[in-house]
Amino acid sequence: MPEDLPRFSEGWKPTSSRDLGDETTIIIETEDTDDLIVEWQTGSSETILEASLTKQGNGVWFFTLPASSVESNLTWRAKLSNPALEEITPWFTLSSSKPGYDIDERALMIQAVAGGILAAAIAIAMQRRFACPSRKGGML
Amino acid sequence: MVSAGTFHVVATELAVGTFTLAGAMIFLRLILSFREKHPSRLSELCDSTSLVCVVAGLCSLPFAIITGVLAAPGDGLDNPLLFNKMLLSWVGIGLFSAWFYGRFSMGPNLWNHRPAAIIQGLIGLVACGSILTVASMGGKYSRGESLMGPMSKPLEYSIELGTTASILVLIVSVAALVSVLKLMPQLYSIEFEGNSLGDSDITN
Repeated sequence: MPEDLPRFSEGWKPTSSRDLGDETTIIIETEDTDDLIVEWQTGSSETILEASLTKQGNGVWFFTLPASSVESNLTWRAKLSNPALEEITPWFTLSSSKPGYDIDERALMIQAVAGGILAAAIAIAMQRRFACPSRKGGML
Repeated sequence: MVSAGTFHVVATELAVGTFTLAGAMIFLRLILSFREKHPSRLSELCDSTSLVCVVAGLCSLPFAIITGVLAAPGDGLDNPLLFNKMLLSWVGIGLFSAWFYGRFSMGPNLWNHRPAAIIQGLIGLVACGSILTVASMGGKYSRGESLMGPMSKPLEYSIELGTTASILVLIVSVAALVSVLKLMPQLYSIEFEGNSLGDSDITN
């Protein structure tokens, strides 16, 4: 491999998943790269689009991929170049899925018990307010 | 060793079966209340069957809840359907407990008094509905389909309060229950004075 081959920095890893409805900003760290083009496409379309890139600093670039409203895969690749060489990366897959559902079970249990007690309170209140006939003289 | 999932099936079928039968008996007893001047044997059978079923269901439902939590795959309750199942189960427990309290306090003659019969029937049917919804959500969770069809869609979302808000709601709920029990007029055993509901002479 030529020493000046444009490439991603060692240790850089692509993002592979995201939540539905979230735009994704990907920061790329490169070495020996003067110019960078990012292409992306959705799984259902063969049209390849070009992402708008912003150079942040020395060899650091970022771009934003649009949000997805359905569970799907989006793929993207980068074309890195310098005056001498050009390198095209393989397609990276970014999958969109529903956000994970995580709940505090203790909070849920308290909330559920509270709901049960409240339902009982409302039902008993209805019974006491509407159910019993008015008494005819004293306690039964 | 028998898994929690197996126990959950047994406990669930017991709870849902008894509560469903209770709901059917409550509905039938309510209908008969509107038709009979004097309670028939069928009415008495409906009343006592519903009472036994509610007690049996209330005994088995906590086991269904506990085994359901233990049998949940993954790290626990990681699905809004399971969250809503838990909430509705406790609402069912609360409503059936209130139904049992009313039936126990007012006695079997409550069915011969129009307001008591309607309120008691309404509470029983709503409670039964909540338990049947829980059962239907179980089918939605495990098989992806439900008898509720598109009506189950809202139950795929949940409103989760945090621990602090849940504790506050619990305190408010307990305060409400204590207030109702302490401040509102007590229920008492209703004596039979002729049916204020029915017009026909269907008697035993």
